[in-house]
Amino acid sequence: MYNIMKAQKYQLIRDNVTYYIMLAGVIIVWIVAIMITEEGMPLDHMKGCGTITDAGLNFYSVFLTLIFTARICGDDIKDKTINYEILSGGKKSAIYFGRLFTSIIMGVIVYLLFCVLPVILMTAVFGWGEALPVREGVIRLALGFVPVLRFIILFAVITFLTRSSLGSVALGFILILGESLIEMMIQEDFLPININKAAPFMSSASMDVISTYNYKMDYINGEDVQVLKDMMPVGTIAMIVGSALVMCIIVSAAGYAVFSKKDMD
Amino acid sequence: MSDILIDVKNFEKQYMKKTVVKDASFQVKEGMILGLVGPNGAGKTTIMKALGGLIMPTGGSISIFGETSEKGLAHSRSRMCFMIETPYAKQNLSARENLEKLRIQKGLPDKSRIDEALKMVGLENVGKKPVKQFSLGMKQRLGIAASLLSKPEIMVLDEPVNGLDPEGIVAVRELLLKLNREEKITIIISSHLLSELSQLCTDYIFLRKGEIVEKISSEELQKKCHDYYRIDTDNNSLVPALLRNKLDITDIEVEKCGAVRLYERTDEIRLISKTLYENDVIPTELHMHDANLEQYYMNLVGEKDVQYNESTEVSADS
Repeated sequence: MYNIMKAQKYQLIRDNVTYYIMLAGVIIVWIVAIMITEEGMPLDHMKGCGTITDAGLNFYSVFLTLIFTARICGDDIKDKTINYEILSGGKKSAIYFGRLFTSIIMGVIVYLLFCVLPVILMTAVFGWGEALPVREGVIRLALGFVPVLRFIILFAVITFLTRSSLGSVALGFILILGESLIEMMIQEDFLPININKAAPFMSSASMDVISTYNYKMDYINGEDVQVLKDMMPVGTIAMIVGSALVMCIIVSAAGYAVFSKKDMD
Repeated sequence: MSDILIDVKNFEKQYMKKTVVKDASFQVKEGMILGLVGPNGAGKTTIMKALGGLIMPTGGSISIFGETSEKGLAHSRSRMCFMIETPYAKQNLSARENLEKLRIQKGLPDKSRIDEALKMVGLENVGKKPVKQFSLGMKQRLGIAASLLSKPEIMVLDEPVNGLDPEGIVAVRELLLKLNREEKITIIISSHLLSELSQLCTDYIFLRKGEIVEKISSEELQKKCHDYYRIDTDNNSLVPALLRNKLDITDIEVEKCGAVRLYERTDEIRLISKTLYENDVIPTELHMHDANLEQYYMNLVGEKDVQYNESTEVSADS
């Protein structure tokens, strides 16, 4: 499995598309930042802690990981180079989980670049801010990867089952939008479900819980500001991490069960 | 040539309840160059894919180097190499980068093997040209180079000379013969170019509609492929007995239509025709046929029905 991961790394580093996606990602972040500023929310107002909660970068990194996961798990199936791995004695478990772990590592890189780095840069330029204690910010930033991980596993399994990177991106996109729509309906009380109770079953709901848990608008010193009412309880953290791990194990095991039985034509 | 490296027993493969290979049993011994011969859809590639673990058998068993379990077979495959269908390669990478990726993936420590493999197939000077700019023949050579990367004990090659120019075909043939003779690599090969196979193979398996219709060594095939006279007469039923009793000729075959194929004493055709005339059997056709692998293949696998005599191992109908 380690050899397959190393081969994937070799391939990704030499693939121009990897750099194009990253570059496009950075450009889009800049465009969004400019748009936010022009709509009357100066970046200096957001500061470092606001970047964790308000910028929606977690959600953005999900889209980028979708593209990378689809490429890592789907491209070799499309051009059949994955067959060489079986023909040279590679086990299907190594082939499957090697790509899954490579996708996770790529997801970590994307998360660091597009979620963690902006927080560091914003903090360096405008300061951390008052709305969120640093410890709580770090916890939420670390926890932010958990729903991204859930999405990566799901995208990887979809790619292995559809055997198409494009099909997987399309399905993944629909899935993200679908989940977001449901989450929005929960938040707007169109659905009689508590967002905390939906979080174990929906990645986007857990993402929302991490960003906005007890983080509410308040009126202080004559202006609307966001403040943290309470720290995130350990039980909620355990629920988010535990449910994510359970879902990751179930989804990846089910995906492997199907992949291992399927012929590689 | 006594050690059995591959033992396939009653192999069967179904896709969506349609049987594509049925009850295939054969053995591959050390040093063999085994040719899989058959028309499109005969099951050649399916058998190769099953050996490579790309598809699961729906029946029967496959043993490679004595291993039959999934884990054991996977380990055995690390001692083999395969080139099935069009060679697989990353189109945006160069030949060297493709082989390097394969080397990393296989966990091979020796980087110099890449240069050796590229040199063996004549791709040492292609530089950084991406594979998408390669001709089909160059891609085919890259596929062979990929096969040679790990110094295999068995090579499984599906149409390896497909798309190669005549010089390339000769080069590949010589390379395979060299690998078989000098490196003692056992080879399983399929090709539509039967003339090529006839210059390579030590053994053949003929397939038709997913079934093995004949297994034969090249010596046996040569024996069967020798030239013959085809004798058609106004009374074919008498001919076999006449040839046997009057001229002591036994090496004959009777076709379905009754015409007789005469394989011995073909230089005494005047005496044979005279004997037939004297016994009131008038020949209506009496001419020499050149037989080769292609002819044999057409008779055995093609639509033309031939019924062999008792000395022939398997008839086309079996």
